[in-house]
Amino acid sequence: MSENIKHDKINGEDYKNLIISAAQSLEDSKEEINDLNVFPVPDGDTGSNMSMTVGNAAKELLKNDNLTLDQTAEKTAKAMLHGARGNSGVIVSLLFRGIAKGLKNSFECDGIAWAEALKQGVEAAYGAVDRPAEGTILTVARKCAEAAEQAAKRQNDFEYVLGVAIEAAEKALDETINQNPVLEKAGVVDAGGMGWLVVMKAMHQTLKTGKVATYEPKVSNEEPRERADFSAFETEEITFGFCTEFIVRKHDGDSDTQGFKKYLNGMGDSLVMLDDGEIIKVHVHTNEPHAVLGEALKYGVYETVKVENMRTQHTNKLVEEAMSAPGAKSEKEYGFVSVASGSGIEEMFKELGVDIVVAGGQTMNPSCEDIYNAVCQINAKNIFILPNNKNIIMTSNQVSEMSDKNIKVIPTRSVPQGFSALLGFDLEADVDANFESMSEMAKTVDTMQVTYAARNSNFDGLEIKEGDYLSLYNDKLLKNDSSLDNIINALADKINESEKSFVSVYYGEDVSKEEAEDTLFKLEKSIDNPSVELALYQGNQPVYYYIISAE
Amino acid sequence: MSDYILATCSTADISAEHLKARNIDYVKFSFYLDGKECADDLGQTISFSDFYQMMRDGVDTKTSQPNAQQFKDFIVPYFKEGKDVIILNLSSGLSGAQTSANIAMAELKEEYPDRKAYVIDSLGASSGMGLLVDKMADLRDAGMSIDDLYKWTEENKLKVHHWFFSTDLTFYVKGGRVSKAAGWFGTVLKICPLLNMDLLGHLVPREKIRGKANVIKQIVKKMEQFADCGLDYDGKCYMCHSDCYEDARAVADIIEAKFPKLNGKVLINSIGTTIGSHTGPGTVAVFFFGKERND
Repeated sequence: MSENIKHDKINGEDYKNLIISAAQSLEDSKEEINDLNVFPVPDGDTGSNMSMTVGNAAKELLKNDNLTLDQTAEKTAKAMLHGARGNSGVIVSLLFRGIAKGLKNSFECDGIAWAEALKQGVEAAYGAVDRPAEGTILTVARKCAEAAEQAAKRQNDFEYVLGVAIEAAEKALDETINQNPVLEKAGVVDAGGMGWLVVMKAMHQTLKTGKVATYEPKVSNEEPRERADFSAFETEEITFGFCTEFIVRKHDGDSDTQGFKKYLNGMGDSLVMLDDGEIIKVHVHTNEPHAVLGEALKYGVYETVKVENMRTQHTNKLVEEAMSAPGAKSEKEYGFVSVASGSGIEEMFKELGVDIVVAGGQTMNPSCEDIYNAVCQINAKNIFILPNNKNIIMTSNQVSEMSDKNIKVIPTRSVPQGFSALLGFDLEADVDANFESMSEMAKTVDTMQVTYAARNSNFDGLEIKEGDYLSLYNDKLLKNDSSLDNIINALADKINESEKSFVSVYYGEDVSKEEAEDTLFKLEKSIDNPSVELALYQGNQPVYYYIISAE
Repeated sequence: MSDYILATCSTADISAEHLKARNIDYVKFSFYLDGKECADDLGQTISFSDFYQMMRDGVDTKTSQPNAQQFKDFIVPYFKEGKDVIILNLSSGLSGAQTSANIAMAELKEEYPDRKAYVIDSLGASSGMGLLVDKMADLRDAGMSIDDLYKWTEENKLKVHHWFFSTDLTFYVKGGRVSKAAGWFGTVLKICPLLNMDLLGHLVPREKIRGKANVIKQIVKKMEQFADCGLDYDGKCYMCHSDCYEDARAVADIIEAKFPKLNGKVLINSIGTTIGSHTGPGTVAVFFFGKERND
């Protein structure tokens, strides 16, 4: 592209360039977008989530040259779907999926085609959201598409249509302040809508200047710590070259395989090991598959063995194929994936029968791909996903469309809801009955969370100072205070109002056992009903000093 | 006056005095304490509290169902007196005692062609059997013949509902009477499973509930849901417990308040050594009549 050429149409290479520029622009603006977050709790940041989502497409496109427009659009949509994080990320991925649908079988895109593609994008996004709210990225994208449609009728020119669409997006974004009372109080525009405007503007700017876009994501030092746990599946560089999978029928059902697990951990990464008493199933990436297989023989005889060189083939595909191959034995009826952080909480989910706990939560929303990878590793006909956070429910819903397995998302909004949902599971019941009863059970528990204010803010009529204790009751801000005792009293009042009789206190990694016991004692003293039972658990979760449930 | 003998087994978990007063005999199961065989005589030799304390202290307990010979030895003396016998036996879903009884009955038929012995698979257990055999005693006393009583019991046995919960799952998992796969026993999360007896006489975990107060509420709800006429239930209600009388009393108090037409007070028994060997301490059960169990 060059500056003097009129950009009335774009082709595949142009589209690639536009997407890469959009990714870079989101990366550059992500802090600005993050700052629009009004909720004072430490939050999964919209800017970062959107940047990672679109960035995933940029990375994918940079690996491919000379694709046609429809191929490029398809690759973009797919990469975003896999990389989608957080609700805004999921919506962006849906917008681009609709766009890809609109550009199907096209080698070029003019103004009319672009307007149609944007329209399809909006339809895809609205179609996937349960209760579309106005004053969000959805509104901005819709106004943008409506303006594009009108513009295309006047002048069938890509650059012109995009330009008009951006003007409409800017206007729509300004209006979001008035459409959402929370935004109105905080006096800011919607973060997701802002992200969409950034994407459109970057595309327009690149088109005008004809610059070849590059993508250089910043390496942040402030990454949340839980990130490390699941990054193994994303690394471009493969340290351990052989994806090694096998099933061993155990000599002795009772034999302890903890030692084997330790051994495997020392031999590579991405370890998934399941021991159901009868068989051990292992998935590990290692450079010495021969040694691993030799060690496995100490525990039993092989049912299946599969070793593949990952440097030549993509891992995820292999895992999925291996697990769903007709020869793969012992397919379970039900499997469970749960999203959570904290070693204690993770253990509790495992005790309740969860196969894989995907690391993530409030401050770090896992991507579709993170959850998808977990789903692939479970050899079960039906898989339930427990997102355990309102910002992860949509991401989980997307996973069900990426896999051939029958996936049901129980819309759990907190860790205690996840626990309760599992209590509603009945191995004998069918999928639909289980979905019903698990969803119902999740609603029977009240969740309270105690964290700190991440920023000074004036939220919902509360004056909040950075560092204050914050308590949330079923996701709503209940009280902020510099004294924990006052927070505990407020929570006890809530428990007293309800007819709940079992209270669990899960304390986080920043709280000592003694402090937690003291909190439990104070809470117990403030609860009126003597038949209420309290129990203390070491959750080790980040961010939340306490997660408290009443049921 | 009837001329036949009504009996049950020591697993019926009602007191020796109660059985004696109702003129009901019982077949003794055996249990082992650290390998030493003891006859289950309803807590008369070894008290229930001593028994559960031993379990807590780690004494190994096992149970043994009667073999065919034991059933014959129980029945034959009555035959020799010229009396027929009807026995309400422990569920075939929990024990092989019914198989032993069937062998005994087949042999007795050849040896004593003129006498009748009915051993009925109750598809029930514990004070649920107790509740049923108590009702059978009523019918016997009202003059029902042994053949009619056999028929009545077969037709009505599934109307006895068994609901129970445990606050200590250690022994359930150990004993293997409840399959590990059928329910997750989250001991860390203080889960109290609510179980019942299904139509095949198996124990089935139905719900997993956190906390004692919640499970107590829920077990009473089950009675409201399944008892004849709901809150207007006017039959008897039996309960039993394994060394946790306070918990059982708490349930009984709610039931007595909620079901004003109840026939008498709730009768609280002790879970005996045979059933108790599998439940361990911490189990509370409720038994009542309702619609036929259908799952």
